[in-house]
Amino acid sequence: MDDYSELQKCVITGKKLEVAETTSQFLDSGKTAKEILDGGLIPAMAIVGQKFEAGEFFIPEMLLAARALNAGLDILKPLLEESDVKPLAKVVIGTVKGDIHDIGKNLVGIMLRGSGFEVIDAGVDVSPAKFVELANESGADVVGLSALLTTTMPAMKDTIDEFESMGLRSKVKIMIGGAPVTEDYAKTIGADGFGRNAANAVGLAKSLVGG
Amino acid sequence: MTIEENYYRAIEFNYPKWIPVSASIMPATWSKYREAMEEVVLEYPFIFGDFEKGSRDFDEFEGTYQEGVQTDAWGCVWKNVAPGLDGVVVGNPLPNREDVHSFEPPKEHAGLPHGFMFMRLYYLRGFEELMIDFAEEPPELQILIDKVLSYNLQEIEVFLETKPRIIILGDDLGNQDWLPIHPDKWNKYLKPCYARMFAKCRQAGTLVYLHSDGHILEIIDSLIDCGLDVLNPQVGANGLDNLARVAKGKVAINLDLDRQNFPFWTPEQIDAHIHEAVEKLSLPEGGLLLFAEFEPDVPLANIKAICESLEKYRNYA
Ligand code: B12
Repeated sequence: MDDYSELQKCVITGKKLEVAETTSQFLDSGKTAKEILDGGLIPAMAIVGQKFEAGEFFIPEMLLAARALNAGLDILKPLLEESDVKPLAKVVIGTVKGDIHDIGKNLVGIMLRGSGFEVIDAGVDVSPAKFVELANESGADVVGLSALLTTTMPAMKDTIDEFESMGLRSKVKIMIGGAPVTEDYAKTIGADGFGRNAANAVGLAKSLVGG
Repeated sequence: MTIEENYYRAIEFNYPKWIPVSASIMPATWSKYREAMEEVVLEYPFIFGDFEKGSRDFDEFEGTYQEGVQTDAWGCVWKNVAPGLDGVVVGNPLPNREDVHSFEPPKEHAGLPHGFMFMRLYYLRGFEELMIDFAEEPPELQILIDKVLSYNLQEIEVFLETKPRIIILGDDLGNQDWLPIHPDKWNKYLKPCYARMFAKCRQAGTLVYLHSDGHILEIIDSLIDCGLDVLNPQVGANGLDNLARVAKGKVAINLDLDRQNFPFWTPEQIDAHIHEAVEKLSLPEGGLLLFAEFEPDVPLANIKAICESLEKYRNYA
């Protein structure tokens, strides 16, 4: 059995139990965890991202698909670790200091996780020092900053400056996003990229780590 | 004509003398600009109404504007990290779907605070859980909606006892450029709620005003069907041309001027923005009001520029 289309369909339509079942069947049939991940789950999440961008999927459909995908991922995870398969990259993501909006940041985290990234959620109201500490501790490749308020956009710059002053700026790629944030602003403050939405954030993160 | 009479004329498309203008100053903004803010308020009575010098405690933050953690009448736990701005719900009393069955809305009168219907659902369940409910549509979704609605209807009834001319409600229904849930689902689950609540007000002869942040273009028609009299939408998230297309002349618009740009614009850009708004949305018979909210990052010079342009264009004809 080589055809992952049924598994993908189950992810896209949010059928958790079927995803778990089909994933196990693929394992029984001799597929490796990595093959199932790369052939079935991750491409399914890419389709979810496209549907989201196209305005066909709204937040409920996207989250349902992500939960279904997780049912498969939970089965594969121990096997992936056993065979030392690494995630695409590590991403620390959080909402900047003074800002408590977390809905968008969480969606970005969910899409990244479903697309093969390891995601470390720093939470909300995260100080520049905390971002640096978490990135350093985890060996993150990418740091994602979210701000929903014009009042907290300067905290994005402060966070980038903190990486700079700790001599760690070259170790991480920094991507930013949130309702008032723009591509231009990302350039102005020296971020490496700007993501418009959760689907677009995946492509961005991939491009930042050369994937 | 008094400011109040003119306001109702604009809302009722009854030929106001000028475009009503108003502004709200976040407590954090008061606390930052203090006496200088007071001077601006005193200078523009058409925008801020009567104000007595010295009557404002610049550092007073009430309710969820206070730093720290507090629990509201519904059992939702609020946390504020930026005093003078609003807090966020960090503790949801109904994290599991089954919890909905035994849940009872507050018995006391806890009012109709901002986020009284749609947001209340996710304050109770948690945002992601509520979204999954909207995806899977279990019976608990409708049960929860009915419980919140029945509280709201009772609360509206109490409010209407005083025969107010208008009821001001707020619920953020949109994201920056789209709705969180499909408009069909919105119409299936939420439209009937707003329809019942608004109808109750209309029957009592009370006008209905709704504030909503975010992109809501696809449901403005539905809100109008429900009996909405005044909508307070965000410019940036909806676009002026779109608002003109779906709402102009059909419902009064208290336009929430583009606060996502207030900190960055020059006074000239601010003037052009307000000019464009009146050009695209005003009608001789009324139906347009202008509103600005000042977060603390708006430079004082821009606050003054906004007031100056509001003052200038309120007489636009
Ligand atoms: C919901 C909401 C709230 C909720 C937040 C609940 C929560 N748990 O997050 C509550 C009620 C608590 C709230 C509070 C406030 N809010 Co608010 N809020 C909103 C609202 C309506 C929607 C935001 C949202 O959740 N969108 C849904 C998600 C999915 O979209 P998103 O966040 O944009 O994220 C997407 C993209 O931006 C991107 N993205 C996001 N982050 C990142 C990060 C990276 C790295 C990448 C690549 C991409 C990315 O991908 C996401 C998914 O597609 C917006 C309206 C708007 N226009 O956006 C106002 C809005 C953001 N809020 C606003 C304001 C003013 C406030 C308050 C100050 C209000 C007050 N009275 O105090 C407080 C601030 C408190 C604080 N200290 O932070 C203003 C901001 C104006 C400004 N000057 O910038 C807005 C724009 C509304 C308006 N009328 O103008 N808010």
